[in-house]
Amino acid sequence: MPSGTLLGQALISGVLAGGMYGLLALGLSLSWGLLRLVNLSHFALAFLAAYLTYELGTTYHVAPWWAAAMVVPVMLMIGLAQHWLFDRFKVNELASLLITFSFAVILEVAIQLYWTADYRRFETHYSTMSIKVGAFYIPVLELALCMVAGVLAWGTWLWLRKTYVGKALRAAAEDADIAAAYGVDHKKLAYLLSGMGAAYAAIAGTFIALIATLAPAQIWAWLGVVFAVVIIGRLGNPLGALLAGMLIGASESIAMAIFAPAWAPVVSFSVLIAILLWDPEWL
Amino acid sequence: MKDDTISTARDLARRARWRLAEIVFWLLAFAAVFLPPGKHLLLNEVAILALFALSLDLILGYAGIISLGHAAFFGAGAYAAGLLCKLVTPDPLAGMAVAIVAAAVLGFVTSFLVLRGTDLTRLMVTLGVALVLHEVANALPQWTGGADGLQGMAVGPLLGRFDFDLYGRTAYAYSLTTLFVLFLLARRIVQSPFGLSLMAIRRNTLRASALGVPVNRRLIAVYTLAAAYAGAAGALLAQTTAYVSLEVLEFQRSADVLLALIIGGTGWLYGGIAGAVVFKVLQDTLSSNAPQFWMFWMGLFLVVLALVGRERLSRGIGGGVRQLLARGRR
Repeated sequence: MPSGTLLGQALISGVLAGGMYGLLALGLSLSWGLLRLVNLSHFALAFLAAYLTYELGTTYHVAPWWAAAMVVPVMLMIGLAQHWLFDRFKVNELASLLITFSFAVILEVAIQLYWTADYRRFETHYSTMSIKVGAFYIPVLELALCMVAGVLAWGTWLWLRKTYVGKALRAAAEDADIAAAYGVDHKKLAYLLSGMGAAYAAIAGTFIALIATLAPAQIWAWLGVVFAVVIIGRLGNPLGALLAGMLIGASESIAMAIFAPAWAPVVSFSVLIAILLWDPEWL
Repeated sequence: MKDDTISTARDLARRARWRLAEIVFWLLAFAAVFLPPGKHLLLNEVAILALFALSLDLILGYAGIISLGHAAFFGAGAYAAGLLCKLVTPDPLAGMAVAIVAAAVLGFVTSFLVLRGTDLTRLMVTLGVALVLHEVANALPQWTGGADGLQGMAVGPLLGRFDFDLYGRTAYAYSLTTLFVLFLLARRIVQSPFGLSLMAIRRNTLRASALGVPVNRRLIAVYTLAAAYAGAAGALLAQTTAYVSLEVLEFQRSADVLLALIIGGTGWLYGGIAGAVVFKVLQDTLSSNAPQFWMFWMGLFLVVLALVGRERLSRGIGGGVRQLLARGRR
């Protein structure tokens, strides 16, 4: 059994790493839960944003937050364009899965053509900075990520719950016809939500550029975990997505510390399967 | 009322009849065994993917269960066949039998998980089962060889007589025969009352259960059956290549088989075979020049397929061909 300090440190880094799962899950959860579109290209968009941040940072020496300010609107437009396609062709759940999978593949090829399949690392002096609290180290970048994810998740949750637009969105997800009868313009709201999802992907991408090593194939690396997180946090629930992300991150990290690193990926799906066994109506 | 029954029975009998095109197709497929060496390895891959896609068609096309993790059963079959060959007996048919049973047991056990909840839950649970299995295989290198794969399989001759040669002729004949036998069985099953009840479940679960169809039992049965088929496909790959790697359990494999089946169309059994032929031949030709472009074209093709829809697309192509013919005649 590892020492208390090690376990504590594992817990902290796990929760912080889980912030990334949560941030990625946020956009997916919204489009899946409220629009019934399974958006696999979310990961590819995040990586495109990461590569753009990397390019801006290394070639033009643009600071990450300015890069984010430039990348977010671009991704927003891409998200809207993608939704236009879905809207135009009246795409259902399965077809959305297929189409966005294909988009992700096409984007992967495009990224590979421009940036090659080599590993890329965006070195900033933030990446080694950490705060020491007692016996534990807290990396600054991950902490910033979690704070941003927390603000976004909390803000989106409040927005869905308190504002008219948010309530209309939830009503339309529950029953589109009745909501339309009460004057909810579901189509316009769907565009809004798709754009938001893509913008969240862009924000996640900026952090991916700062924290992770980039390679085109990495697009698929988080697919399983993040999907599990989306479901564990309940579809369409932004706070749930973030909390589930942190829960999974922490469990993975602790499983790694106690057993072996190889067992970490099993954790998320074991939790998911356990939840589904306990309550099949969870989704 | 009686006329209705008779006409329905006649209709079903008509559907069950062998068509000329089917017979020609199988004759051609078997004739390809005697082709000069060179293409048998590719044909073997086609036959294996076809069997795998046929297995997915049984649950997707006939029972409406979408699976993103069908590789779980393929991998289970492959590892079962590989381990049996290494540890017990090199006989391929024994390996096949064990692989089928192992995959079927796994399918039966996981079917209880998969059948809980809605379509989307199923999607995630299938994906999850495959991912967990992949990680378990990775974490047990003493059994599976881990990332290095299961090496040193010496597969014995088929029926004690036909050795697996370097050019893959025996391999293709073996895979094709397995595919054909299991296809015949599947064809019989989907036309039986059992198969018809599955289609009723897919169209309208609520109504099917109101008519007295034991929905859950039927779904468990067909899921187990499909798992057994996928296990057979996995065993074929393991035995004909004498190697099992973690790739048999990867998400990519589940995605590939879904793509192949979607290309060929679900719910008519030949969809998996047609899709496998198109998929493998395209992959072989396109990826010989540039591997990444193969995925690009595949992606583009799928977008068009999903957006425009198969009916309109095939009607479009058919219409285009007809127009061209008409123009040629003029």
